Amino acid sequence: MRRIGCGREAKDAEFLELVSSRTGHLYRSACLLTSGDTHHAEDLVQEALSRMYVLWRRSAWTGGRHRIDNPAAYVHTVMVRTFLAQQRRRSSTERPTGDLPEPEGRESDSTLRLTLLDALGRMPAKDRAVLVLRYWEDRSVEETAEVLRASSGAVRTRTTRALARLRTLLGDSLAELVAR
Amino acid sequence: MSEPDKFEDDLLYAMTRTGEGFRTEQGELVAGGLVRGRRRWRRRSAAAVVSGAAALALVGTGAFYLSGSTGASPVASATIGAAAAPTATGTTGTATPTAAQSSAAAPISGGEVLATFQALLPKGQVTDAKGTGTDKDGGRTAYANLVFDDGQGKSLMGLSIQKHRKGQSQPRTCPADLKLASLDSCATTTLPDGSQLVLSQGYEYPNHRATTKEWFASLIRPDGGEIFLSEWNSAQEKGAPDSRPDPALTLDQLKAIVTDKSWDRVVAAVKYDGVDPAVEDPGLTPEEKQATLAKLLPAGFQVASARNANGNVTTYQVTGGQTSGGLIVRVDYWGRPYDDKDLQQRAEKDRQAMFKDATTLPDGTKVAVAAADQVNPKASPARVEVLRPDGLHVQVVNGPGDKPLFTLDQLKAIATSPEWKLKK
Repeated sequence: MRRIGCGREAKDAEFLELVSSRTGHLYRSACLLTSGDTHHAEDLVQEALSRMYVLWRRSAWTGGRHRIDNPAAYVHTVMVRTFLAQQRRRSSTERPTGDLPEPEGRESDSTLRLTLLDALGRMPAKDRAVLVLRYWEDRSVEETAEVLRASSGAVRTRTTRALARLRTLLGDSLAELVAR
Repeated sequence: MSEPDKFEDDLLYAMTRTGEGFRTEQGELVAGGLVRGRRRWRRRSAAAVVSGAAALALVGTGAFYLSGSTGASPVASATIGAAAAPTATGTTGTATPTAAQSSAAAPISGGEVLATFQALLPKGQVTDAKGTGTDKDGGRTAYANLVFDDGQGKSLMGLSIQKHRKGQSQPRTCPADLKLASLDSCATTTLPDGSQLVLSQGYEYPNHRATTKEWFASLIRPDGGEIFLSEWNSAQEKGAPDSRPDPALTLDQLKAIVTDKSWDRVVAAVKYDGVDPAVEDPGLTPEEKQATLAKLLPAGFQVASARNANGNVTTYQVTGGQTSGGLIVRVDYWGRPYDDKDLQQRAEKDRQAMFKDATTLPDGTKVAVAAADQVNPKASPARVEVLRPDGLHVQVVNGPGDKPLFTLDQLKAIATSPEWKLKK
């Protein structure tokens, strides 16, 4: 890391320190959101980090007027919102399902992974986001609502609907794979 | 537990397991985020909304999937097969490490990558040049960046080389709707040697926030090597405005560079990303495995069906009299080293942990037994792990079901049978 100086270098060094420890988890969330499209996931992470960078620079510039209370959690929020915004724009170019990359790595886990990712890939982006927030990031209904800029009630409804949809897609295969 | 609750529990586990499996070069992501962030910060005056579409064309780092190496949950670390050290006893060094071959090539330095790149450029001035070779970062990527000026203005260029295993890469394709993706052109071709070439003319910002163009050539060779060359009509790094109407090289010139034979050496030196499935292959056909299992089932039981029979882990549906249930059998080989040091170390650690409390049979076979979890037998069912002196690993686990299919002793009898034979 650079010696603390002034200006951009110092700011950048602080930023790197801030996000470095979170990036792995951020990437994994992105992979789930994009249902295993690692290229898209990488893009999403970088996009979220870059947005975070701007917010963070601005907060420093405005003397903390726009201070971010929990940067680690916030960058996840930024990413989910970015993802949903992208999906809205690119919905017509959505990758067809069944087009998942070949399993990389161990095959046993690939089965669980591919089964889940394939099912996630068949769901609407918002449903996917709700499930990732609730079941991967372990966020509360209220937190999820905040991320999605929706009401708690709407999140509850969407979660129930998304779970039902996923159950239909997965049938019993999830239980079987999980029991391994 | 009610059914919905159970489904949610399963989902929680599956999400964790799946999510934890994704690994990537974090450094590159952070660096990429920072670069984009700076750019965005400089141009923040208008609400910058940048679609990720163009960036899909950017270099993908070698993301790969590892199973349970972080021990996300007890089951995760238990079910992984990348487990037990090639224990001193039997693991011979005679196995041909198929995966290690790629690492046998001499490493290439960043200077050499850069020199190779520069030698292929037409006449012009090169500044801000930087190369990274296979002697850094695990050797899975080599890249070079520079600013090229043919006299008509500066053009940033970035070249990267990676290598993907068969079936482990997603070929780059052109989007169906070029206009929607903000591309002026995109074409894919298969070259006479079988390489897949993509040539694309697009923009740094697909929403045309700035007029900066990004053109690229991507070549995926039959050996899995991917050479990716991007160029911009800007020196870019200091947020410079466009320095010329178009990037410096034509698509034909980009193609000539990525297809040049002088990259062969670099491609040979770059390690494959991802895990080589051949490393763990015990050499048994699905039929052989099923026949072996059929012989070993307790009297009256038979195999009704098999799922994922082609993998190292197969779930068999077993029936006998009134009972039926799933039986998960993993047969794999631990005698070959992975070509990745980190992966190897993790695997050895996991494997040691797995056989920590194992008993050793007279012939050197190690047997580790785990009874089902009392509280949540479904999350952690009864399991027997066997590691043979020749490196063969056999894992037998009761599948899901209201009632466990076999007792621990029955599982043990199946797993420890000498009928399981390595055929490598």
